Amino acid sequence: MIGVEFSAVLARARAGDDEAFAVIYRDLAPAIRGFARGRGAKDPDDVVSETMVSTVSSLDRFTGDESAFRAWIFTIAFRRVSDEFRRAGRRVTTESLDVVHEPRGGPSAEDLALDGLAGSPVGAALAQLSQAQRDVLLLRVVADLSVRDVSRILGKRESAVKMIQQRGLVRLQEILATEVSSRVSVNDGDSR
Amino acid sequence: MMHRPRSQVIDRLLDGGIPATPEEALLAATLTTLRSELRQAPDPSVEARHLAAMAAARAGGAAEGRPPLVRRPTWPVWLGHWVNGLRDPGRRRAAVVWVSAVVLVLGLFTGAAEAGALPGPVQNAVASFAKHLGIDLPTSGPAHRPTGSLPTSAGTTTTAAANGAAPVRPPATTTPTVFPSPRGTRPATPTTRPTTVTVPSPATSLPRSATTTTTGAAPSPPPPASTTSTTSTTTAVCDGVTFTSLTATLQGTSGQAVLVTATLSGALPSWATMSAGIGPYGSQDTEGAVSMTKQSPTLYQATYTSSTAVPVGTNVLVGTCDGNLLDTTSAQRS
Repeated sequence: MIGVEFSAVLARARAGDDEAFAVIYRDLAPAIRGFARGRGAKDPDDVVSETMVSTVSSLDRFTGDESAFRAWIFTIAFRRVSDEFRRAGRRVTTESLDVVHEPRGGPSAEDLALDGLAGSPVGAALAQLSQAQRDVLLLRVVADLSVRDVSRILGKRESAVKMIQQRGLVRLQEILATEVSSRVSVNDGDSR
Repeated sequence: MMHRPRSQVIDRLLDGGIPATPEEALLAATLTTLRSELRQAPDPSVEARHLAAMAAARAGGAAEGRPPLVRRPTWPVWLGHWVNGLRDPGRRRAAVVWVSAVVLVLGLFTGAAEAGALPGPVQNAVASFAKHLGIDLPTSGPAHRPTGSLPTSAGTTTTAAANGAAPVRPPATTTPTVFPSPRGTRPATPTTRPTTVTVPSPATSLPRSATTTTTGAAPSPPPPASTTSTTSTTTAVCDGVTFTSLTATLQGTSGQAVLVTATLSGALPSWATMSAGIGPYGSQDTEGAVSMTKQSPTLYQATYTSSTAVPVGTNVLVGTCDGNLLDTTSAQRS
């Protein structure tokens, strides 16, 4: 968070100050990138770039404080990632008839994309959460948004967001605990 | 089965609060792991590329082959809110009522302006504004009469009444002649426009409903020659000078020539010239004008010649000082 200097930084950015843009970018880019990774975006850096460029283009229309600014930015990022998966879902792919097709109900585009995080326990855990749990936890924990802001972005009631958040965290803890213990046991077996 | 954390605990831990129980410590560790695992800054080279793209976007251009950003048209915020609000049936009904009321008021206002029924200053203001839009609306007061356009060959064409009494206007096919400005520009010395003009008797003013057009001689016999005229008084002033008398006398048997004589209370400015023509009362538009000859500093004369007989009662306009000193009289027999 930029903090008390946010208003001044925003004013300088509106005036075209490159350094102010850099301050905003360095404050938000890691969270946007983390959100995009957690959502399984194919190229998280692209999401960061598109979100920030879109923000800069319409900076003059924004009004509000820093938390409103973050909520606005992540609304843009959320839509970018959602659009990406919508396009991926519509894309027609061709493959050989010799390939054995997976049964219906297989992994979604997001699940497949999360394979990029499969090497880490967190990636594996996120892949096992429902999409709603993943969205809520990423926006609450990685993007640092309030329950109210998350409810607005996702179009859900605040009470629903709280419920999803609780269940998601419990599930995440369970999965992480299992992941960690299994990895520890695998490592133990390898070392023997 | 793990304990489900309360929402307040999650908020506190997300804000950096200290865990109070082992369960909260486990939860805090989970949150920290999730954050630290995912939140990673882009590479410096990527960051530099992104910042360049942002600068280019701010400048309105494109960077690194990206297509230029197309800004959406900027709507006023209140308009956007208003349009969004129309989705609500109640607001939609209110909007319909408002729009209908505005259309009704504008319609009534326009109709009143067209009829010349607005209060004087308002009517004049509306007429002046409408003139800029190419709309001819009446002004208030007696000075305005609808001006039928008459042939403008100066001093060669006029109207003839079927009965010799009421002049008739030919079709409006030509541009009316306007008293010319003597030098093209107004003098630096401000002149006073007439504020009140003596209205001639009804018998001497041009009728507004002219329906018959005759281009030849009037069927009735021409008035006898050697006629005299009436005099009009005026309060119009040009540099302190006013008309003291204005006469229009029909000449000859055919009545095609009108001798116009104007006497003034003083000498006009050196730049001022005087013109005479036939046209409706109160208007500077005439169907032809002739320059009046300066006989003396206070006496101007001209003979206005028409191709047809000029009926008795035809309005004759005399103007000078760039239209600031303007008066009318009616042609009379002696």
